[in-house]
This record gives sequence, C-alpha cells and structure tokens, in this order.
Amino acid sequence: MTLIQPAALGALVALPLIVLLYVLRPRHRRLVVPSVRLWQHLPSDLEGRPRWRLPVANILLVAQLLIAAAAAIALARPGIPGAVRQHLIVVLDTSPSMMASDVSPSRLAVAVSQGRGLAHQLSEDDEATLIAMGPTPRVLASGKGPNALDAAFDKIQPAANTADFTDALLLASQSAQQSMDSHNQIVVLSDGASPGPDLSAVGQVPADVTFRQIGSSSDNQAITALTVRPMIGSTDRYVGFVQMANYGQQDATVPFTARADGLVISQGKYTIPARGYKEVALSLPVGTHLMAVNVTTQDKFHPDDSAQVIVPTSKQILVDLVAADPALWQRALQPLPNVKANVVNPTAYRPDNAAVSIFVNFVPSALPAGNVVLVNPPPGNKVVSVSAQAQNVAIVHADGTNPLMGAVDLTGQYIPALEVFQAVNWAQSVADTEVAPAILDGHQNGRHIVVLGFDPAGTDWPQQTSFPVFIANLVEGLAPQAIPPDVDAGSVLDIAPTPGATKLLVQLPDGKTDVFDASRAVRFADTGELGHYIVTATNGQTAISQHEFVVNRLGIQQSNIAPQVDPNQIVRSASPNGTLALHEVWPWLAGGVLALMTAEWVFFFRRTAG
Amino acid sequence: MASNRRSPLSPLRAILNAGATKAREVIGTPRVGATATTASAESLLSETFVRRLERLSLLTRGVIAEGVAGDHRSRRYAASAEFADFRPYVPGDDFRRIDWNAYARLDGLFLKLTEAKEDIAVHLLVDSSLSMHWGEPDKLGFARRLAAAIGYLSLSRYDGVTGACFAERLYDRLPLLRGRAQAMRMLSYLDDAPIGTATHLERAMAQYCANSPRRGIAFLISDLMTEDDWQKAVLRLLRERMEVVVVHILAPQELHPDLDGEVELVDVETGDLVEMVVGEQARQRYEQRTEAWCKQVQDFCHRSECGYLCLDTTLELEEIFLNKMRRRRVVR
Repeated sequence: MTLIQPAALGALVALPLIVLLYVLRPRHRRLVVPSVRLWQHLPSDLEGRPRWRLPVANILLVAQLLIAAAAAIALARPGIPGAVRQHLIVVLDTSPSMMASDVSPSRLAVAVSQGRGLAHQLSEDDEATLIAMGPTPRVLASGKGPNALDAAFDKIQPAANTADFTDALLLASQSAQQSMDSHNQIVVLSDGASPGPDLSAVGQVPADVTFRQIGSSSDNQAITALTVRPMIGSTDRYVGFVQMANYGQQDATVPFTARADGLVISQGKYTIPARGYKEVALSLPVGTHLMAVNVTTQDKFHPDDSAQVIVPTSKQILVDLVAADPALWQRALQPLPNVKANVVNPTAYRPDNAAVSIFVNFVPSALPAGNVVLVNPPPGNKVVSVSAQAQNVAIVHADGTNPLMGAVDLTGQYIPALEVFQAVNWAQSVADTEVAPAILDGHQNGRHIVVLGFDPAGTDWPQQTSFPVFIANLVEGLAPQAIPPDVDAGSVLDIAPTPGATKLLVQLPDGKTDVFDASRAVRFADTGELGHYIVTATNGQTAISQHEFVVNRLGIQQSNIAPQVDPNQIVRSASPNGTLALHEVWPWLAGGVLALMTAEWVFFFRRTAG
Repeated sequence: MASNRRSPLSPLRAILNAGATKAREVIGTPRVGATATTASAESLLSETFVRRLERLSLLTRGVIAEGVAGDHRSRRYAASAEFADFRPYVPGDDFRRIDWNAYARLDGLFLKLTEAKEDIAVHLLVDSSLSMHWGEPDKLGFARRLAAAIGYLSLSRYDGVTGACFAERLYDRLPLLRGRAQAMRMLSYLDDAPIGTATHLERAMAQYCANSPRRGIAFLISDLMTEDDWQKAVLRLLRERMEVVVVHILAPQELHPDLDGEVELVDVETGDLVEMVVGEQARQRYEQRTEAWCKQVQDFCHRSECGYLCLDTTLELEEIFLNKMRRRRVVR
C-alpha cells in the first residue's frame, strides 16, 4: 500500500477531537427556569462535576470515528502498487506496398493483427498509441487500456504514397516523451519497403524501439513509367512510352496490353529480366485522348499493373490587350505559345471572359472576371489611388523571388515619369524606385492584379531582353493554371478559380463527385484512387470548362516492395524505467464514508424521531 | 360507564381525565397572550372520579355568603325546616316560633331555632404567567385542571363560581356561574385564558377586589413567583372577608432540579441570568431553600387563618381531592 498524499493523514487528528467532544461535558448550558430567585446568591459548587467523562458506548461515536478515519485515509489517496506502467506506441506502415499479398491476406492485415495483439496484452493502466506511417504520419488513436486502439485498427486504410519513416519515428518519439513515467515501447510494423529513417534527424528516442518485418518478398512486375510525347515532325500525332520493371529474382514474361480510348492498339508478351526493366514505344492513333496499359502478372502486388495517361491538347490563353497604342505589347505577346491576343480600343472595351486583360493608360469602370494588368493607370481609377507623379526616378530594388521577376533584372531602370500610389494592403511591391513602388503585385476580390506605375513605352525597357521575359512571366503568372494531365497518387492538386464559374465538380474514378466553390482556388487532395478524374467548372447548369487528369502510381520506388530497411539500424533500448502503476482505492473509501454517513443519519433521525 | 350521548359534563370529564393521562408536552416558551393548550378529551377514565367529585362539597369555616339559599350550613338562624337549638323566650320574640310542645312538657316558653342553609361564592384565581407555563407536567395545565375540578364541584353543589386568571394584570373575570349547566362556560373561560408574562400578584388581587366581589372562598392557585409581595395579595383577599385557600403549585423539576455542571439559568419571566456550577451540594442547598420557602408560605397562611396546599404537578387530582383536601378540611 502506497500513499500518494501522505500529508493528508494529518486529518486523522480529527479522531481524538471527536473523542474529546464526547469526553468533555459542555460548558454553561443555558436553561430556562420559572424563577432564578431561589438560585440567586446560592454558593456554587467548587467542582460541580468532572469536566470529562468516560466516553459511553455510542454507535454515533463509532460511526463518526470510522467516517473521519476513512475520509482521512481517502484524502491520503492510498494505492496498491501494480506493474510498471507501459506505453505501447504502434507505428503501423500504411504505404501502398503494404497491400502486397506475400503474407496472407496482406501485409497491412497482418500488421493490424499483430498490432491489435500487442495492444491486447496491455493492462488497464497501460497506455497505447497508434501512429499511421504514411506520407504524412499521424496519430490515429491514443488511450488507456487494451482496447483503446481497437476502433482505430478497424478503420485503418492504406495510404496512397510511400511512408515517411523519419517523420513517423519523430512523432513516436514525441509521444514517448509525453509519458516519461512509463516504460515506452515503440513497435514498428512495416515491410520496410519505404526508404529508411534519417536517424540523425530523429535524435534520441526515449523508448525501446523494435521493428517487426511484415513480408519479405520482392516478387513484383510493374509498369513504372507511362508518358506520351508529340511525334517528331507532327503536330497531331503522339507516341506513348511504357516502362515495365521486374523486381523479382527471376526473369518474368508478362502479357502486355495497350489501349487508346479503350481500343486495343498493342498486345503481346514481354520478358523482363530479373531486377531489370523493359521499355516499349507505341504510336497512338490520331485524336487519341486516353492511353491505358496493363500487364497481367502473378506477383504479390497488383496496384502497379496498370496505368493511364491523357494525351495533352494545346489550349490557348485568351489575352485582352486594351490600349490606344498596342504595338509594343502585341510584339511582346506574339511569340508566346498558346497565347491569343485580342486587341481592343479603350473606348470599345466591354468586359469578357479573357484569362488575362492588359489595360494600358486606361482602367475600365468595371473590371473583367479574369486577372488584370494595369499599366500606368490614370488618376481617379477605382483600383489604386494615384496621389502624385514623380519625375526622373530609377528602380533601386527588385524582388527576385517573385515569379514575375524571374530572369528579369530591373535594377537601375530609368523611369522618366512614375505615378506615386497611395499604400494599398492587398498588394506588395516587387520593384521599387527611390520614391515609390514601380510594380505592385497582389490579389483583390479573388482577382490577381499587377500594376505598373509607369508606361514602358516611355522608357528604354522594351528595347531590352528583360521586357519580353517579363511579359512572358506576366502571362504565365496570371493565366489560370492548367491542371496537369497526370499526378501521383496521394499528391495534392491546386486548381485555380475559374472566372465566371460558381461550382467546381471533380468526378472520381469510382463515379463519385466532389463539389467545390469555383470562385476560389481549390486544393484537391482526394487523389488516393488510381484512375481517370474529370474536373468541370459550371455556372448553374452550364459547363464553362472541363479538364481531365489521371492518377497513377508509377515509379521505381512505388513498385519496389522488397525490404530496404535494416532492422538493426532502428532497434534500440532507451526507454526510461517507468514507475509502478498504483491502483487507487480512495473511491471505495469515499463510497464507504457516504454509506456510513447515510447510516449515521438514519440512526440519528430514527432516534430523535422516536 | 361512559355514555355515548353528549352531555355538558363531557369536556369537564375530559379535562379531569387529563390528570391521569400523560400530559402533552409544551416545548419551548409560548408567546405572550397565546391560548394555553387544552387537555386532551380523548380519555373517559375519570368517570369514577367525577362521580366522587359530585359527592364532595367545600367546607367553610364561617363565612357565609349573602344571596340565595344554598347547600351549606349557616351561622345565622332563619326560618327553615332544619332544627338548630332552643332558647328561652324573651319579650319581643315572635310568638309563632314558640315551641308549644316544649311548653307542654317543660312548662316554660322556649323558642325553636332553625338553621339557615345558604350557598357560598367560590373564587377561582388562577395564575397564568409564564412561570406557570413551565415544568413537566405543565404547572398551568395542572392549575387549570384543578380549578376546573373545584369549579365543577362547586357548581354541582349549586354554589356560585366566579374568579379570574391573572399574570401581570387581571384578565377578564369569570362571571358568577351557578349550576352544572354552567360548567361548559367555566371550562371555556379557563381554556381561553391568555398566558401573561411576569406575575404581579398584589396588583392583580387589588384589581380583583376593587369591584367588591361577593364574599366566599377564594382559591389562589399560583406558584407565588411574583414580582411584588404575594403576602399583601393574600391579605387583600382576607380584607374582603373571604376565606382564602392558597394552592401553591410547584413542578417536580423545581422541587428536585435535575441540573448538573456549569449552567446559565434564565428567568422565564424577567430574563435575569444566574451563572453557577451546580453539583450535589448546590442542589441540596437549593432544595433546602425551596423547602424553607414553602414552610414560610405555610406559616404565613397559618397565621392568617388561610388554607394552604402545596401541590406537585405530578399528583393525581383524585389524590388531591380525596386525600390532601380532605385532610386540610377544604372539602368533605
């Protein structure tokens, strides 16, 4: 028996006090008599009676002594020592290679089973934590008792990408540091197919770390690369390149099938050498939109047996050039690929759906929905307030980290006339003169706006090579980002807002559709499923634009299911000893006190009522 | 046997019964002016006692009340059927009262004297101060039952019953009642009498005597714990040519206090405090002092030719009437 708060035993002093109350007679009892006349001047007894008496056998006295003693002991929080408190931290690999079936039914299922078994060996006082070791390791569950992790084990799913071993160990180490009074044990359940941890980054881990290898086969044939390229000398024909790899120890002959928009364009068997690869080039029919390939294997890992790719199509960027004298800007825009410049006189301008609008010495009363470049905006416009005009200034600083200024050095650029803007909080300066910013870059009302405080036509900048580069940066930076045709599983896709659209619908390969607000940029992370995705921007029932992309799990690393981690590198013993768990008994004592108090009350009530 | 019919005697019987049954405890000091608790009317045990009570009558030592003829012998001679004595004829006597039979036998003129039968007025003077509302059994309750019994005894003898309750002053008087039929009225008066504060016996008796009450027997029922001189109060009654019986009521806790240790005694009437240590010796001294006080009262009553009864509230009414009062020749 151990007392957590032994000082509370001082409350036991109440026991002799209670006895004293029963032993001592009360002083000066007040009594009402019909008259004090006969008592007046009556000499008092020097000793009326002893001030104390022997405590009579009284059930109330016994009950009160028991209550006081039990309460004092309960306050001292007695505990019965148990075993050393354990903290089990299960780091469970959820990388795609854990779906390999070299152990039945799969590596992930076996790991879950082992992890559940370890957790069930804990006692009620022990703590358990489950960390999913995926691309971004996270704590799935933490709690006390053998069943604390059961629900998390039931819901665990494989991740879309390889595990980050280092971050997972760091997370486990932090979890162990929070329970330094326990014996910490980190158990890594993994196939070791992911890159091993950077132990120098992990540092000292206050736990005993063990590594349990789940599966060891390397038998896997996979499609590790698929891409399409324009055929040399042709603008409408493409060639598909396929790479197949064999990670097994034996040569493997695998049936191969290639389809263009569902039609088989190639079928045959290829022999891939052990630990080698095979490349195939296929000419795609004109107008092919989607190319799909697959191999039929008898290996232990099937998610990488097929892949898809979308044949890219050129898409023009519509740029409105609103200028009274557009020649200079037309020359700069003309060489840019996929850019279609629409020259408009300021007096005839009406806002349209152009991706980028360039306004030279002019600002319309209503800005278009797309992104905007304002060149030398006149005073009185609604976007930036022009407070003054500076003469004969030079750019003294340019922000080279801003994408607009990539490969553009404007330092020392002479500007004969510069409009001085009042400070705005939605934009930042990317090029400054000694008196005021020369170029502002920012976002206002969901619109990307770049403001030039001077007219390049009045300077010698157009004669320099940096001017067309700046225009190219401008269009590239302000044009809506095209969605890449193929992305890796589990990666995050940034989808730019679509001007004029209210909703963005992303249809997943399984037919489900995610709906987003199209007025703002969308970070789409639901790319765990392999296959073909369709992104549609709509305004009501009208589809404004549609893009497609495919999600593949291609790559040498993704398909290599062979163990790569040396367990001896990870295993260590550095856990604190831990303290003994205490089973506190004060709740039982408190319950006894309550029962005694109730019994005492009932006894007293019945006695006084009787 | 008790009968089921409702008679005027039932409340009286109930009150008398309460002497034999356990008195209801009155916890705490009642508020001034509150109506005292009446005795329980549940028991009919005292049927026998009431019958015995009806056979008793009050004894007087010579005071004869004026008014209607009653049941008591009178010192006056008057025309009646009750023979009293002979005396020789003297000139001027009424010829009609000459006993001619005696003249024939004794050859002399003798007058036949007859005894007058007259009623008496019974004055029930009950102390209803706070000090009386104390003790177990309650002194005031005991005094009311005693007064009710005396009153009923008198009414049954066709004596006039009057009186008053008093404390710091005299409360409303009980009008002169006569006959058993008035028993209810008397009981209601005793029941409804308020409880006063301190006792001013002399003042109260002076107020009572101010209206020239009928002469008779005055039962002064009190614990005599008064702020003024109780002796003057008795003398005031005697000056009205009343026969006075002082009924001194004491609770057993007053006679033999069960006090022990350091106590703070509070006078229920005045609020005076006395702090003292009560032990065996103090208790003995108190009891001696109380005994001496009772003796002093008794001596005064003896000197003043008053009746004196010192009653403990634990006594049964039957014991009081059939034993103590008979021995003191208050009843016969």
